[in-house]
Amino acid sequence: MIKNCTIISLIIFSSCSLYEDTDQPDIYFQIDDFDILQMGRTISDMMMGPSNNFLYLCDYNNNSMIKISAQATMKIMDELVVGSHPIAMDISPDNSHLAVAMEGESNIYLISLEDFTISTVFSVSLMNMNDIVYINSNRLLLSSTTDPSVVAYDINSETESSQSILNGELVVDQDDTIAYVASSSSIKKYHISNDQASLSPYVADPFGFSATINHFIINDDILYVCLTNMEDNKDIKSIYSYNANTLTFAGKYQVGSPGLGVVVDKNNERIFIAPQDADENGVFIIEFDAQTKLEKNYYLTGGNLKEKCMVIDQTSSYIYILVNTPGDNDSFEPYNDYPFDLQRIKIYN
Amino acid sequence: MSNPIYGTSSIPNYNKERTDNSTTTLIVSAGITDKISVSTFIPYRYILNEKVLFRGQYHNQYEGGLYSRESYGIGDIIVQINYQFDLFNGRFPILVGSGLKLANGKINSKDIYDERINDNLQVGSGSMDPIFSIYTNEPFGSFMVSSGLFTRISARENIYGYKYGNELHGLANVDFIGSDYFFGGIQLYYLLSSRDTYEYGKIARDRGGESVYFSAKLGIKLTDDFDLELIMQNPIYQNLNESQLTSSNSIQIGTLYRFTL
Repeated sequence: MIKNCTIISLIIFSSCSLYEDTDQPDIYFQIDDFDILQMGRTISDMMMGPSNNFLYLCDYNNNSMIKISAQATMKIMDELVVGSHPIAMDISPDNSHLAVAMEGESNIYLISLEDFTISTVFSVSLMNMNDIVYINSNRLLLSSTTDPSVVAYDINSETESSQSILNGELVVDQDDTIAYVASSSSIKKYHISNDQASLSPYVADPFGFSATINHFIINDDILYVCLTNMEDNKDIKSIYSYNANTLTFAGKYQVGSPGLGVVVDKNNERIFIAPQDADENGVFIIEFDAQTKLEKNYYLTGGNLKEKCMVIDQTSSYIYILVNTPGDNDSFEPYNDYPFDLQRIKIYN
Repeated sequence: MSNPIYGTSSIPNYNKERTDNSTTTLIVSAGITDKISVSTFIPYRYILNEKVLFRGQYHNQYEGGLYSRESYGIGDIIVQINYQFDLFNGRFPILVGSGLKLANGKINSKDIYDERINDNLQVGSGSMDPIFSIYTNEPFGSFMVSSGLFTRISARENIYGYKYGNELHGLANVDFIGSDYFFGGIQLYYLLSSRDTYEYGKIARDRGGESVYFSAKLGIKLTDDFDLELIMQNPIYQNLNESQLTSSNSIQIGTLYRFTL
């Protein structure tokens, strides 16, 4: 009897290795509970405030601006009704105001960051505005999708001047002397220190297709542009970068689909890209190494992403991104399509 | 199954994925001699998986939306022969079984785009695997204490190159048998499985792990030869490889009919 028991015990114990996983798969991402602020809004632009405490969002469908606390638990702190369809914004260099451009009316709203109230509203000649940037604390550049020329507006003198700058997505470099425009065909560079802008001799090679600009930023003398081919919205698989001085091609970051947003960390070493398409396992923010231009980390998000709607905080600790969870779209409310929520993602150290 | 777990932690179900897994099993067991018996398990399976795709997640449905996959049919049949050992002077008789899990179950179900769906959503495994089991029981007054081990060892990959991991099932039961009209009991069920692999041995993520379930059983003796039982099973511990869908509870309904040839 003892012999039989011993044999059975030996068989059982020796077979335990059959159920051990000696090889492990490569896991390139973590799955944590999502840190999401439920909003259900259609947001057109998003920025981190100067103190790193608040996020400011343009609520396109509700004609309002939203102020969100970025500390501890995210929550909506304030909401301010502005004009018809806020589309883009910029924070003044002195960090006192938020300038907001409207797509649905020819007005610019200046909002005090101190008390989140409208301090000034002024009219411009443009309709269907798509972007706004501060050149300095008193001067703005405005672009429209229907007017081929960009307009400069002087806040002190309340005067507007048409500039020989092609419309598109705008960025201004840090010493406020150069403006870059990502148009539907290429990137152009303009000197803007005088009242009338002049085109720089450096012009980037054309994209080779008619592009929709999803996001355009400058960081450490490198321009990053996220594009979609208007003819085929699945055609572009990378985001492009250019040297700001010469507008020569500085690199492609392959993400498998058009980029919707790009941010860079405070040390200019890590580039985070929001792609249009999901991977088989979900939608990921892809982190690239700025030096090698290779993928480094992946951050799982809670849903489909949106153009221009990703920011990074000043300490490079968190990414904030708007997500649309497809399973939550079963709403019978009229014209309520693709509402977005705000997700906070901790950046790996 | 609609509750995803990553390791031991609950995680968000970002695709709103859900799998309904229904199995009806016909178990036929016959005693050949006092010590030898033969058992056959014939399962009929229906598997439905639904999820909401993200944009670009599946090339046939680029814009995303609801995506369903289903398969149904007779699953892999198990044939087993059992031999009873009396090692402890008539107490704790040990029933040792050995058999085969056949490869008869269908493994080529397709989705609406005519693409074959994942192996783990097919009703069959596509490989003929050896199985072994050991079981014992002993009455204590009005109670029957029983326990057993069952294992399936994956012998080979199927024709698509997919190979299921090995499985070890452990059971411990205490049943009340003191009534002529009903019976009931509790069960601890342990499941240990290793990872599946793709062709050329590539390791499958999200497969394999360790689970412990607690079950409560209640049955009625409808006649001397016919029993009806209901089992409610809940997980009490799960440590799974990567993220896997789990179920917070399951229901089993069983009948037993005894007859003599």
